Amino acid sequence: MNILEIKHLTKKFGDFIAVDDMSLTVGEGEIFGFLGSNGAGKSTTINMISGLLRKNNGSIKMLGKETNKHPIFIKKHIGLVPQELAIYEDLTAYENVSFFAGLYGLRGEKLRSRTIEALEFVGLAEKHKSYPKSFSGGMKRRLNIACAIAHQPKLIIMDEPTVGIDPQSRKYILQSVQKLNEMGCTIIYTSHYMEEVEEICTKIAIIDHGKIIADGTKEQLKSLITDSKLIYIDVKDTDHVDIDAIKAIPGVANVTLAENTIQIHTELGANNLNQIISYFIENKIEIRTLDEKEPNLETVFLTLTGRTLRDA
Amino acid sequence: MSKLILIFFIMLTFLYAAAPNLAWGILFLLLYISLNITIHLLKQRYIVSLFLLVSVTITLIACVQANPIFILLMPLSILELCQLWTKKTIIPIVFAISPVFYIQQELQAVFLLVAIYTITIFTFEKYNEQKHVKNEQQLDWMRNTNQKLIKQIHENDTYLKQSAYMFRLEERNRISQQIHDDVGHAITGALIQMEASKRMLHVDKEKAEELLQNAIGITQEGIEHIRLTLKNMKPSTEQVGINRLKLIIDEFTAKHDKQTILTYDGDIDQVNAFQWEVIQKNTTEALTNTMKYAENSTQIAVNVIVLNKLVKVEVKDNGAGAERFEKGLGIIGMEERSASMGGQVIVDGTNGFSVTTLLPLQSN
Amino acid sequence: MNILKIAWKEVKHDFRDIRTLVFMIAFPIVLMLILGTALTGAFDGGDFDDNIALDDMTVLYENSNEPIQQPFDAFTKELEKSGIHFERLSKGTNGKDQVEENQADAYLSIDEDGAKLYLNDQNSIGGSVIQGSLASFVDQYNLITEISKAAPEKLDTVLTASTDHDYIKDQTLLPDQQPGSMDYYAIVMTTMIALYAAISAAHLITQERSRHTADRLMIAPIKKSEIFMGKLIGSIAINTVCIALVVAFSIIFFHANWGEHLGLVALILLTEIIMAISFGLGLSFLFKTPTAPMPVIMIVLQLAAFFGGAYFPIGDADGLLKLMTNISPLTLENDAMFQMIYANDLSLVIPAIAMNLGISLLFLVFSTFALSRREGL
Ligand SMILES: Nc1ncnc2c1ncn2[C@@H]1O[C@H](COP(=O)(O)OP(=O)(O)O)[C@@H](O)[C@H]1O
Ligand SMILES: [Mg+2]
Repeated sequence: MNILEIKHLTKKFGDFIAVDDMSLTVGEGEIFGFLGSNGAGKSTTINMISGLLRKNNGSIKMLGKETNKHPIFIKKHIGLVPQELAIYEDLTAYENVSFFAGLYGLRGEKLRSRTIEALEFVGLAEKHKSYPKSFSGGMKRRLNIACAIAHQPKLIIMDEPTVGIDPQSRKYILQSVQKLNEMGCTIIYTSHYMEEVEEICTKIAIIDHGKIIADGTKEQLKSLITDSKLIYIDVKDTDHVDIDAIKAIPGVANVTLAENTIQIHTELGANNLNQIISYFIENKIEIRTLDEKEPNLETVFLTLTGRTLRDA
Repeated sequence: MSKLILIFFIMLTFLYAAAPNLAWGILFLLLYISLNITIHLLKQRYIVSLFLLVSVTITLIACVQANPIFILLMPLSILELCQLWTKKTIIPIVFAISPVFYIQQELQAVFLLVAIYTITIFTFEKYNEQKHVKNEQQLDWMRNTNQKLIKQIHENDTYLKQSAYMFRLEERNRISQQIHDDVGHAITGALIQMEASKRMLHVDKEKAEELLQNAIGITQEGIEHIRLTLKNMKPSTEQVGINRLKLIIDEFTAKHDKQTILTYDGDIDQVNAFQWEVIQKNTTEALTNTMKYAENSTQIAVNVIVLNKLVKVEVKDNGAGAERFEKGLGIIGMEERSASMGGQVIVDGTNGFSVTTLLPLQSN
Repeated sequence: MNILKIAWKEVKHDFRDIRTLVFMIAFPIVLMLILGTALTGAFDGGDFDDNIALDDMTVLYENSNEPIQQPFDAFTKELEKSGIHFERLSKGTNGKDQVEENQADAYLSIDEDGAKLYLNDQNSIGGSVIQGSLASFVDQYNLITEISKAAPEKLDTVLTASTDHDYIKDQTLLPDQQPGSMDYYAIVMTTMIALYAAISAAHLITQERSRHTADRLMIAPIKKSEIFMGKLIGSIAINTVCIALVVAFSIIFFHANWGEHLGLVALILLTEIIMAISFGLGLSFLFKTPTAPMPVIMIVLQLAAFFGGAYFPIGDADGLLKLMTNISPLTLENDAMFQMIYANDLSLVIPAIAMNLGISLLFLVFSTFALSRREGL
C-alpha cells in the first residue's frame, strides 16, 4: 500500500522553480530518503506535503486522500521534524512536547503518558523539567523530534534532523529513526549526508534542481551507473597467478594484471570476495593488501549530476 | 534641517527673552553651527564622533554659561553620536531623553517635546535614507538587466537571420555536391560515349553500337548510383549518431569562437536512433544557449557517457553561469524531448552553465 | 479547547519573560513615583498636598429663580470654604464672554428651567469639580422640592440638614483625596502602560515565525483562527493581570484614588488593552520584516502618551497642540477616567469604550484578513 503519492508536483517562487514536476510514491513501512544538495528542493517538497506551502501544480495524495481536500485528517497523521529547531526556549522539555501533542486532541492522562513516552524515546526523560536553553545542540534536535512523534503519526517527515550535531547524537537519532520504523511508522528522511541515507533508508530519491533524477533502492541506484565493482589485490609475486582460474569464479567479469597488482572486475551483488581470497590462499599466493572499490551513493550522485553533494 | 529649525527656535527664544548673556549665546550658536557644518564634510567615524562630542560639550557649556535653552540641541547630537556606534534605536532614544531629569522644570516640557520631535524626524530620516539607497540599487540593477536584455534581443535577431541564411547555403552546397559527384560524372561519361557513337554511326556501325551500349551501361550505373546514394543516406544509425554529433560540434566550432570538445565513453552502440535524435537536438539547443547567454565563456565540453543503465550527455561551458534562471522555451523543449524517452534534464548554473541529459537505455 | 491551550501557553511565555514583565509592571510604578513626586511643581505650582481645583476658582453666577436663592447661598458658602468663590454677575456683562476671556473659571446661569454651566476648560480637573458639585447640589435641591410637594412638614429638617451638607464630600472630594500629582500619575501611567501592550502584541505572530514554531502550529490539525484567537486571548489575559497589579499597587502603596466605579475603570482599561493589542497585531501584519513595526509603535505610543497627558497634564491647548491632544486616544481615556472618578460623571465612559472597541475591530479585521491570505502564519 502506498502511503503517499505525489504527481507532477510543482512549486514556483516567482520565476524560480523550486520543485519541478516531481512525481514519486512512498510505500507504507518504508524509510524513504530524499538525498540532494542544499537548495535542491527537499524542504520545499516536504513543506508542501505537510501543508505548510501551497503547491502551484500537481497532486499530493496521502492514505488515498487528496491532502488539500482533507487537511485536518492528513495533518493528524503527519509528524514533521522541521529543518530548523522549532521549540520554545522558555517552556520546559515536557511543556514543549505536551503543548504540541495537545494540539492533536490528546488530553489528560493520555497526553501525559504520550509526552513521557516521546521524551523517553529520544532519551530526554530525565531532563523533562529543564529548559531547552540549557540543552546541547544534539539534545535540542532530539527534543525537536519528540515534539513531532508524541501524537503517534503514521508518517514522520524528518528534514535534515542531524544538521550540526555531534556524532553520538547523530547515531542516537539514526537508531531512533530505525526504531520508529520498526514500530510501524513510515518515514521520509531528508539529508544531504550520503552516509546516513545509505545506512538507514530502504528507498531513496536523488533530488536535484527540484527534480527527481533517480529513485529506487540503493542497489538499484548504484546499478544505474555500473554493475561491477573493482577489487585490487596486491601480491608478492604474480608468477603463479592463473588469470583464467580467477575468471572462472562466479561473478568475475574481467581480470587484469599490472605489476604486482591484480585488478578484478566483479558483479556488484556477486558476494564472491571469499572465493577470490580462498583462491589465493589455496594456491599459497601471499596477499599484501586488498582494496575494494565499490560505487556508493556519492559516486552515483556525482556521476549523474556532475557535482558532489556538498556543493552548495 | 531639524538642526536649523532648532537653532532658529533657540535664537528666537533667546531674543525674546532678551537673555543677559546674549553675546555668549550668539558665540556658542555660531560655534555650534560651524562645527556641525564641518561634521557633514567629514567621513571617518572616529573624527565625526570626536566632533560630535565637542559639539555636545559646547552645548553643555552653553547651557551653563549662556542659557539653559541650549539643552534642546542635545537630543539630536546624542542621536547622531549613537547612530554611529549602534544599530539599535532604543538606546539612543533613552540617551536622548535622559537629560530631562537634570534640567529645570520650566524647560522639561519643551525639552520632552523637542526630544520627541527630534527623535521622530531623525528616525524617519534614517528610515528614508535606507529606503532611498535600496531603491537606488534596485534601479541600477534593473537598468543593467534591461540593457542586457535589449542586447540579447538584438543578438538573437542577427543570429536567427544568420542561421537561416547558413542553412539555405548549406543545403544548396550539399545538393550541388551530390549532383556533381554522382549524377554529373555518369551523365558526362554517357554524353561523351553517345557523342562518339553518333560520329561512328555511319563509319562503323558495330563500334557505334558498342559505344551506345557503353553509354547505356554508364547511365544505368549512374541511375544505380543515385539509387545507392539515396539508399546510403540511411546508413547504420549507430555510426551516424556519434559522427553527426561530431559534425554538429565541428560546425559550431568553425562558426563560433569557442573551443568545443566532444568526448565519449562507454558502449556507444547501446544508444538507439531515437535517443541520438534527442541527444543531437538537445546538444544543438544547449550550444545555442551558450552562444546566447554565456558570452564570456571560452570553452564548451560535450561529454557523452554510456553508463550501465543510462546514457548521460553533458554540455558544459566555463562562463559565468547563473544562480537562478528562468526556464525558457529551449530548456522546456529539451525537457519534453527527454521526458518522451523517459529521461531527465538537469540544468545547473552554479559552476559555469551545464545541461545534462539523462536517458535510460532500453535494451536492459 | 485548542484556543485555551494556546492562550495558556502564551501566558506562560509572558510570565517567564521577566524583562517584559518588569517593564509592564515596574516601569509604570517607578514612573508614577518619579513623576508623581518630582513633577508636583509642574502639576499645580504649589505644595504637595495642595489641591488643584480649590485655589483660584471664580464662578460667576446669575440667578433668576428666587426660591432657590437660599439653598444656593448655602451651597456657595460651603464651596467658599473649599476655595471656590462665587460672584454674582455684574449687570451689563456677559458671563460667557467673561469665561472665554479667562476672567472667571466658570459661569453659572440659573433660571426656572434649571441651571446652565459654562466652563472655561471642560477638561481641567477644576472644571470637573465645579460640575460635579453643582450636579450634586441640583440633585439635593430636587430632593427638597420633591419633599416639599409630598411631605411639607419634613422640609424643614432636610433644609437644616442640608445647610451643613458638604457638597464636595458627596463627590468624595475630601481634601486629602483630591487628585494630587500621585493620583494623576497613577491614572495616566496606567492608561499609558496599557497601550504598551501593543509592543508584545506585535511580537505575538512574528515571534512564532522567528522561532520556527509557526510551522509546527501550522501543521497541527487546528485552524489558523484558533491560533489567532488563542494568542489574542492569552495576550489580553496577561496584560490585564499586569494592569491590575499596577492599579492594585498604586492603591495600596501610593493611595491613589480610583473612585467608586471600579468596574467601569476596569472595563475602560480592558477595552484599552484590547485596542493596544489589536493595534500591535495589525501593525505586525502591515510590515514585512519583524522589526519594522517596532519604531512605528514606539513613536505612536510615545506621541500618544505625551499628548494624552501621560507625562504632565496638557491643560489649555490650541492650534496644533490641541489637534494632537485630541488625536491621542489617551486623552479620551484619561478624561473619561477623571470625569468618572472626580466628578461622578459617566458621560465619557461610553465614548471611550466605543473608541477602544472600534479601533480594535478595525485592526482585528485587518489582521484576520491578512492572516487568511498569507501562506503559513
Ligand atoms: N520562500 C522562498 N522564496 C524564494 N525562494 C525559496 C523560498 N524557499 C526556498 N527557496 C528556494 O528554493 C530552493 C529549494 O530550497 P529548499 O527546498 O529549502 O532546498 P533544500 O531543503 O533541498 O536544501 C532553493 O534554491 C531556495 O533558495
Ligand atoms: Mg532543506
